[in-house]
Order: sequence, then structure tokens, then C-alpha cells
Amino acid sequence: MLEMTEVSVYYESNGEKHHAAGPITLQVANSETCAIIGPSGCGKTSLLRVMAGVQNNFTGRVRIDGNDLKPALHRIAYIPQNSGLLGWKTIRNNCLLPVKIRKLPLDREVYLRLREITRRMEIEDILDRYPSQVSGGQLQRAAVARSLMIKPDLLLMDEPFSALDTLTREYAQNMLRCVLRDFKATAVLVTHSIEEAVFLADRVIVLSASPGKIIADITTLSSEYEDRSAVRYTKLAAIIRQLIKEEWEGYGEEKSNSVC
Amino acid sequence: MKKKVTVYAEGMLIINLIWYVIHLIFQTRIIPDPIRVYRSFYLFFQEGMLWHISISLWRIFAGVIIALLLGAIIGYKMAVSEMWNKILNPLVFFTYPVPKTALLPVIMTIFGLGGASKIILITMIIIFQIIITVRDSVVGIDKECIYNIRSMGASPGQILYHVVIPDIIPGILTSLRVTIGSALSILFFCEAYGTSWGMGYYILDAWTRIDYISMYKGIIVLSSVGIALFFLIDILEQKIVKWR
Repeated sequence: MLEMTEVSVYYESNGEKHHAAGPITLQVANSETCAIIGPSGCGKTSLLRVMAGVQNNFTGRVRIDGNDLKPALHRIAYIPQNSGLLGWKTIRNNCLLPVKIRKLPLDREVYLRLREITRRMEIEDILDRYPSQVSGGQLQRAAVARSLMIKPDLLLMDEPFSALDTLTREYAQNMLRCVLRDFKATAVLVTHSIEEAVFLADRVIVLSASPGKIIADITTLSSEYEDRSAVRYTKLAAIIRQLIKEEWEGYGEEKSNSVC
Repeated sequence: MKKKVTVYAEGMLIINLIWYVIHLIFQTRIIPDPIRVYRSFYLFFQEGMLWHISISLWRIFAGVIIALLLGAIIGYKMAVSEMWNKILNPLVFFTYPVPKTALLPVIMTIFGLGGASKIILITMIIIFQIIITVRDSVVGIDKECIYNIRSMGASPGQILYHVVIPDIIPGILTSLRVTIGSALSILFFCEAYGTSWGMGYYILDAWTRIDYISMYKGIIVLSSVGIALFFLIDILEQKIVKWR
């Protein structure tokens, strides 16, 4: 279980300290998928980096299964917006990187897992290609495959499909949804898309404008419907959209339109 | 690679044709018949040419290796430490445009007439390009890639090995390609003093003896060494930078 207690994130600009988000108290249960949505600049990505253990300017406490978060101790997989795959490694070597970083043996079990995950993500044919030689959709699926290689305690995704076209995005979302369920991964997803949040996550956390605070914590029961056009799914998306509109009224039309 | 070899071969053929035409027009000893020059290559081994080439190559490789090691460390330090950047940045930018050949007398006075002063001068020519390339490459590394690998629990050494070094290698190879030509010119200049070995010495010695055939032979060999070094960098790039 991920526990964030009174977490506030800061960033420095021109020597001044700015409050980006918080205080935020949040719990994500094991095998749960939680989506965070909020207006641009409300500190969603900073919050995700705190969960990844790579953001230093924050106060509060982050724990996983009762222990203070440490990337060297916990298995964390963080997928940034640009996939984070290293351009000089083949997709295969990118997928094996977390195993090498943790100095785990590259044994038969690892290669079987690689085969299973890449088959599920439908990237087994591109393993020997470099990231510059594959499509955007394949790149994001490879990033997800890499993150699952170490059976992560926590999978963090920062707008993983934002750069994809609608059809590719829906295809990748369907695949991710199945994989998250099958691998029982605990995941936190930052997105600008309400539909994506409702479709992929068990819970949707809505943040206020900067500094981002939790204004709504909505259970989606997404596992109960498979079809994107299910009435409950579209109704829930509409409710969240209305809530956001009301909350962000006055924040600025341009910025509230950034969530769509 | 085949295409490049063809381009070089075509270039060499054109240059030799121009040379031959000029020789035919002027009919002077200063521009000898290229065929006579190429025929004189049968003396290649007797004249100790291999030893001259080896000495020159050793000076270049030593200069390149020192410049690479020092330049990479200084450039990296400048990129990751604001304090080091503040100290070294003015120094690098002030000394970068200074013509290093002007420092030859100073370097020879301090380090003597032997090989050390020649290697130091070559190092000084290459190092600035390496420092600037490494610093800019490290500064330009996508922060998300660093966050990504740090979240996996990577140590600073692992970040260096998996992210920083592969990221700066293409830039370093490009810098080497740019600077190797300058290094060869300076080597030629340096080998005029305090040595009786090296391609520069061979060419200048033949010139003072008014042995134009040997002089041109030396120029051809030195040019071939330069082309071979360019090919070496190309091969290294093909073997190492496979992702481009």
C-alpha cells in the first residue's frame, strides 16, 4: 500500500521557493489503480515524482507497505511522458534494464517473464529495434513492458498515452487495463483525460488549481464495465467533468480546457 | 562505408589528375611528376617511414587520449556542478579562441624539445572541443530519463554507465572528427623542432635537402594517415553508435 501523509511539493525558480502542490494525504491500496487529474501546473507530475522517490523538494511522508519510500529498497517503475526508454538501447535491453540496475540475475525466469510481458504488450517482434525505429504506440507499450519486468510495488505513469492518436490510444489503454488487472499492479496514473482516468482507474483523484489539493476522490468501479460506451462510464465522466468545471470556475477558461 | 571509400578514391584521383596537369604545365622541380613520386615508394621501408608514421601516430593518440580523459572529466564536472562551472567557464571561453600554436615556444621552454611538448600541444587543441561537447551533452540529457533510471534505484555510477556515457559518445566522436585535422596540422608544425622522427620532420627535412620527391611522398603519407584516422572514427561510430 502507498501512503502519502501531508505531502507538500515545492519548486525553486529564480531563487524563490514556490508551493506546487499539497498538503496531500492519500492512500492507494495494493493492486489498485488510481488516476490523478487536475489543471496544468497544479503539481501532478511533481507529486508523481515524489512517489517515484526522485523529487527532493517536498515535506511530509511517503511510505510503501509501512516503510519509508526508497527507490533502492522498493521496486518502483516510473513511466514519464516521453516513455523514458533509452535511445541507445534496443527495446530488449531497455526492458532488461531494471533487472540489471537491481543487479538481479539474468536467468531463465527473467527471459521467460520478458517473453510473456512482451507477448502480452504485442511488442515481441520489435525487441531488437531501437526506440527511434518504432512507432509511438509501440514505444509506450514497451515502456509499460519494461516497468512490469521487476514486478513493481508501485507503477507510476505520467500521461503515458497523451502523444498518441485516438485509435492507438484506445488500443493501448485496453491493453494496459488488462495487464494492470492480470499483473495485480498498484498503479498511479496522471492524466489530462477524464475518460482515460475513468476507464483505467479504480479511483479518480481530482486536484484543485495550483497548489494542487485533493478536491474529490471518486471510486469508479471501472472493473464492473468493459465497454467504453457503458452508461455508467459515460455518466461518471460527465459528473467528474461537471465537478471540475464548478471547482475551477474562475481559474481561467484556457486552463480548465486543458482537461478534456 | 563503401560509399565513403568511393568518395575518397574519387577525390584522390581528381587531386592526382590536377597535380599531374599542373606538373605538365609548369615543368618545374617544385612540382614533380606524381608517377615518379609514387614510384619512389619502393624505398618506403628502407627510409624508416614506418617508424616516422608510428612516432607521429603515437603523439596523436597520446594527445587524443589525454584530451578525452581530461576533457570528459572537466566537461562533466562543469555540467553537474554549478560551482565548477562558475570557476571553469570563464577560463575555458577565454582560452578556447587563443591560437595554441602561439603557445608552442612556452610549452617547449617548460616541457623541453622532446615528445612531451608535442603531445601537450595536441592535447590543448583537442581538449576544449571535448570539454564543450561533453558539458553541453550532459546538460542536454533528458531529465525524465534520469528520473526514470533513478526511480529504478540506480546508483550514480549506474546512471553514468547507462545514460551519461552513451549520451555523450556521439558528440565526442564528432568533436574528434573536427579536431583531428587541426591536430595533424599542428603535429606537422611541432615536429619541425627538437626531433628527428615523425612525419612532420620527414617532410621538412626533405624540403631543406631540396628532395622534392621525398617531400611529396611525406605529404602523401601524412594525408593518408589523416584519412585513415577519419575512417577509424567512422568505423568506431558505426560499431558504437548503432542506434543512429
